[in-house]
Amino acid sequence: MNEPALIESARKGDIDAFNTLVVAYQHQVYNLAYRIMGDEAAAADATQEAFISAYKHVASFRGESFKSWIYRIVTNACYDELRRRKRRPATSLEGLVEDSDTDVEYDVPDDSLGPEERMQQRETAAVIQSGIETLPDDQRITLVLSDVQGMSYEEIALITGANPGTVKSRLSRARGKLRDYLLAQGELSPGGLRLKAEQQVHYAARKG
Amino acid sequence: MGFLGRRLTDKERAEELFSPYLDGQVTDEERMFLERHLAAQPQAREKFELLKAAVQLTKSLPPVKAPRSFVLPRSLARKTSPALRLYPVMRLATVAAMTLFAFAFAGDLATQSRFIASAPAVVSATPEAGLMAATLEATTATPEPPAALEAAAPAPTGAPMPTQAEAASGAEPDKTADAANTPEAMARQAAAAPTPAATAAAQPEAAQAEQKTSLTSASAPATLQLDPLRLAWIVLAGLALLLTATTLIVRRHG
Repeated sequence: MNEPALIESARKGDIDAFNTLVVAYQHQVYNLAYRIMGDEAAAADATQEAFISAYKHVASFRGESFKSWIYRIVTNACYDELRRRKRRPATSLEGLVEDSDTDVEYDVPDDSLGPEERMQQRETAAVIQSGIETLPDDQRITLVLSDVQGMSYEEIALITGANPGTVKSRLSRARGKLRDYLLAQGELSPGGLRLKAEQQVHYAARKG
Repeated sequence: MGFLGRRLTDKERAEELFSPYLDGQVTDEERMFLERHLAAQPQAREKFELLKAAVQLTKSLPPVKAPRSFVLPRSLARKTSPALRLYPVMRLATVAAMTLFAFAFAGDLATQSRFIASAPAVVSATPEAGLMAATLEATTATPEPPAALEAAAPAPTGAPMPTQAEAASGAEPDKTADAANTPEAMARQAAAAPTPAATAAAQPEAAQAEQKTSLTSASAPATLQLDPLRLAWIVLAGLALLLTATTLIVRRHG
């Protein structure tokens, strides 16, 4: 995929060229939005909004990586929606509590796992997702960009508009809170239950 | 107290380094400090291992699949780009419509005020005729319009009396305005106009004078002639408004 050429065509209004980029990035963008928002409908809205906005403003795209650019747009869309929810909490609280990873469709159906293991993996994923949703917006977004999307401190700084020092401390606090949450939920434990976590990682390694 | 405070500071400092240490984002000095601290403090080591496990768990989250395609519809392309390309053209059209409206309106206003001051002036097209119109205006302004009417009436017949022609030829052209002070002088000039142009101009004026004696009733044929100009600026005003609104919408939504 020749990204600069596609962007240049999109800039001239070629929507097919832009849609090639959409197809290439839509799963990553949706995944990012889903981990920040915690529910499918809001993640889909943010993703669609981000791609439409990116297409409309493709003329203002300058050099940097398209991935960072589209991540920044979808992150901002999520951030706006989270703030909107805070102003009207009653409408969204139920959906957030009800939602869990158990009914989400995963990108790669894992055939190497038995039904029981797969169930356990989904449950763990649901607990982690709930833990992420307990974090303040800034910390949540930073943690998702780092540990879910695998972005570097510099990339996160670029996407969120914070300086690398701030990114470092937000991530540190977010990880500490998530650890305490998982500990409280029994997903992690100082003793034998940590095996469960290690097992999960092992599954993930086998899957990957 | 100082000892306790120092231990607390070390602990806090170490905990702040857990996360960047996992990412390799620490200086050599920080790394050595943390490793020494972890080796000496089993509780800190435990906390660090738990953090590491939590991060690994998060990183092992399987990616979720998008529930649908987010490919943009073609209609979005048609809607945005051509409209934006149209914007400069529409802006130009708006300015053009506004300018034309301004000219038409000013033109109408100017002719209207000239008409109010001297109605027949609008009708006349040649300088000679304009002069005639000025004299006619002076005539209508005199207390006895019927005198002018009677004097002007013979003109269309084209058979001026010889004595009147003599009197007219004796009058200097630049003194016409002064001469026109009396209905008699005016009548002589109007009736005995020696040049063909003046005669031609005098004919409609005389006909007009025949029909209308008052200023208001005399305005009727003049108004008929103004209508296209007035119609033009009304239409242009509407067009300019419409274009302004459309151009603004294009700019906002394009």
